[in-house]
Amino acid sequence: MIGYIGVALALIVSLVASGIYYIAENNNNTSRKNVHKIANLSYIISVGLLGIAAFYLFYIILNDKFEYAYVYGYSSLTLPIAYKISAFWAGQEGSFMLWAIFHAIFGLIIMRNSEVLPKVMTVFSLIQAFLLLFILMKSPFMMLTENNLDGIGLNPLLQDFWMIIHPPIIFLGYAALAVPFSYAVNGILIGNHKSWLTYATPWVLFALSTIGAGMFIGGFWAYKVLGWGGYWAWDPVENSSLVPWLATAALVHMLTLAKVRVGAIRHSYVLTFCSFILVLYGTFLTRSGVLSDFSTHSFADEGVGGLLGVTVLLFTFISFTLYISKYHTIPSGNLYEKASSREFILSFTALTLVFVGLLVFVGMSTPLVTKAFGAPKSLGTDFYNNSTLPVAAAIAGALLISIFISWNGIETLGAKTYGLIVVGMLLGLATASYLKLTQPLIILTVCLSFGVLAANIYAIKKQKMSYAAVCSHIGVAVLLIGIMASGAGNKTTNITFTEGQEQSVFGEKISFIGTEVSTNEIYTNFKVGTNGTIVGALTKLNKLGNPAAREPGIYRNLLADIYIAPAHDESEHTGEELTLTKNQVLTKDNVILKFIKFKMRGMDGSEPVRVEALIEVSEGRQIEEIRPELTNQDGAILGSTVMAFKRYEIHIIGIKPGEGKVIVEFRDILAAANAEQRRLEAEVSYKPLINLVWLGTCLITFGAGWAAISRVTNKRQSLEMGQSPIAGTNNKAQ
Amino acid sequence: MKKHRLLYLAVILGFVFYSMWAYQSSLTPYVTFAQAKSSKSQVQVKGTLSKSNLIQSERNSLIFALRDEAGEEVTVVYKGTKPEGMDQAESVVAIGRYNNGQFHADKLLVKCPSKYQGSVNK
Repeated sequence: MIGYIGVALALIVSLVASGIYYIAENNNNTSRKNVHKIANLSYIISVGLLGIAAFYLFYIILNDKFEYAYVYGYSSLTLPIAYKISAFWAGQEGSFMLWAIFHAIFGLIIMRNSEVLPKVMTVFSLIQAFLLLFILMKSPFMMLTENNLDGIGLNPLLQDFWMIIHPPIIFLGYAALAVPFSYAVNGILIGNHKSWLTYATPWVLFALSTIGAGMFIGGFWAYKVLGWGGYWAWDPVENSSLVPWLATAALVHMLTLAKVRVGAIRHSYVLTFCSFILVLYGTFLTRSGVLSDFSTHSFADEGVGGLLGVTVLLFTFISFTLYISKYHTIPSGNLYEKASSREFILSFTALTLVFVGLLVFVGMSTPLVTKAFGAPKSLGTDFYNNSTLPVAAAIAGALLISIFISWNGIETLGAKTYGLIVVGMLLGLATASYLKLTQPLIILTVCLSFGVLAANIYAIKKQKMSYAAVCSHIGVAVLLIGIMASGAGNKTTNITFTEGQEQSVFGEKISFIGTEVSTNEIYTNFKVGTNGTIVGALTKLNKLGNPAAREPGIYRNLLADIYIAPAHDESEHTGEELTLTKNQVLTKDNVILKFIKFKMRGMDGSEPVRVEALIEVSEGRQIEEIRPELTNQDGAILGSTVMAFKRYEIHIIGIKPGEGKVIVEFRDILAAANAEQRRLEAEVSYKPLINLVWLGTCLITFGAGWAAISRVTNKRQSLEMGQSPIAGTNNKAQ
Repeated sequence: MKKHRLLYLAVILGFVFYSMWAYQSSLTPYVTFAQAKSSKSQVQVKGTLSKSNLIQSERNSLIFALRDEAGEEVTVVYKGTKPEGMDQAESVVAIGRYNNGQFHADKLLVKCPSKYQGSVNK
């Protein structure tokens, strides 16, 4: 009860705070200070109440209070402490809580400016109230009617270091985007269209850095854990982070332009509104259940979908109504005078990023929109890959050209720099031909990106842009090379390994050297490379001892990864599969098998469904009757293993009652023991330059974070020098 | 200036038309089994696991029967490993095309009764 009441009270107090902040500005000067103090106090109280609820959630998780549905669903007695902490945000309810906590903390930070701009806090507290409302609708404090001694536990796929930190980092970014949104709404409300830009910029950069980092961590986890060989699947849950991130990236470029061109302020407003609304929209898509038939990750709708949809519409309506009503008061002007200017490149970059964002937005909204007009349609991932490729080339091109163009126009760089860029592009061509890339646009993108790397050496030397911007731009080029090389240069093959025998795959010697079994894990080990590095593919087992999650084995190298995903080897059986037809004999080595009949039990629902197959096994003149069976226990299909002549193991793996057929796995354990060699099938892939994907993403994140910090310190310096925060920033910085 | 504007417009329109083409060719409709059988392009179907035929995993492929709301059944063949939670699945979504009496799935989405238990398979 403590948690629920805490959230409910926090919601009420947030709304009160929002109201008091609103009237604080309209009061006369003497009472204004007092009203403002009351507003701040009520905001702090609402944060405190939320804090109590959050601590209570931690308390019930850490103390195994399984009478709470949330704790029962995401934690268990044996769960390691680190995963118990991450269970806090593993589910929908808790992740809203985490979002609200970050939001509340950011509120305490921007509260310090609220005396000058109280209406920022009006908007901000209102958003907080909505987040708290989501938690109430989807409360982590729901009790179960019966008391449970142990919980279900965290999904084994999520039991990974990167999945502990992935949600908090993403939600830092989501929460941070509410800050520029609040400043922008305030800017429109009070008619001061310039001052908000400086306040908003560090938060926008911070969000760019954190949402980016969160997505990249998610991708890294998918690559390392899921075993399908990629890091990005254009799934709605991924797209719902990507679209706000692209809008934020476009906004960063517009904010830079807005420092020299007032015309960019209008665009900055729109992009600021869009970036935050897109976060809400993405949340709506992935958590309302509208995409449950289209996404692998979507949460099912449990009551919060409608509210989320209304919230998206409401915030869109409020912000754009305000924008349109004050449109004529917002400064206008051209974004650029001529095409050969830094202004043009900035506009072009923002436009390109918006375009990519729009493509992904249209793609992820397709099931929803088509559903509204009839039969829902989904969109193949080909669309995303095909449509974003030319834009990727355009972005690489813009990055390269940006080096040649300063605020004043085209610059001549000198023969040395041109030479360097040409060498870089030739290096790109060489890489492309080495990896046998054939698609012209991919080759072009790789070449341009290599050119960008070379050109940025010049940019660093001449301090053409801030180091932080150069860092992010190099990151984009590195990322593009990584995506193109590892995607288009990827090679995959299915290999059957025999234990202990070496095979040469993609230029590396690989051998399967056996399995290591412990109580809850199975490692399938491979020896790879000239140094004989041991690479293990991990199978995590659940409480019943059944496989619950499979991770591939990855042989990491600087230039290329060898990615090994073993095919299922659920039991230790490596026998032969035989299909037996009713009353027909099948001869296997010196054994004759004859399937006589099925016997079904439990079809009336009184006990678990059991199917028994009567099989006659004869060896020489001896005949033995065996009765292996299949059981369906709580949805899990289990087959018993039966021995004949103490030598042949027979195990049912499938039945076709309609055709009178039974499929069994037959294994001669004597022969198997003699051979002592096991075979294993695995999918082996070669992923060239995949490390550039991780390196590029790190550089982008680091660059954006660096820029955020330098904006904060710049602002502080300029304030100390008594300047207005707008004039003080560096015009050269991008 | 005017020439420039035209050039920009042409480039932007080029991008837009190219994207529209890419969009059109990747659109995968959600259809009933009956429609899937008559369609030659990639489609998406959804159904519950039919109880009369149990899941059978052969070497590197998964064969199972799905039943849609109309009660029609189709045999689905999926080359790849069995998705987690397949046995407990509430319903299964298969994306692929119908050919020679079987639905060949490129991708499976397993819908579990529990909340965040989906799994990715490509």
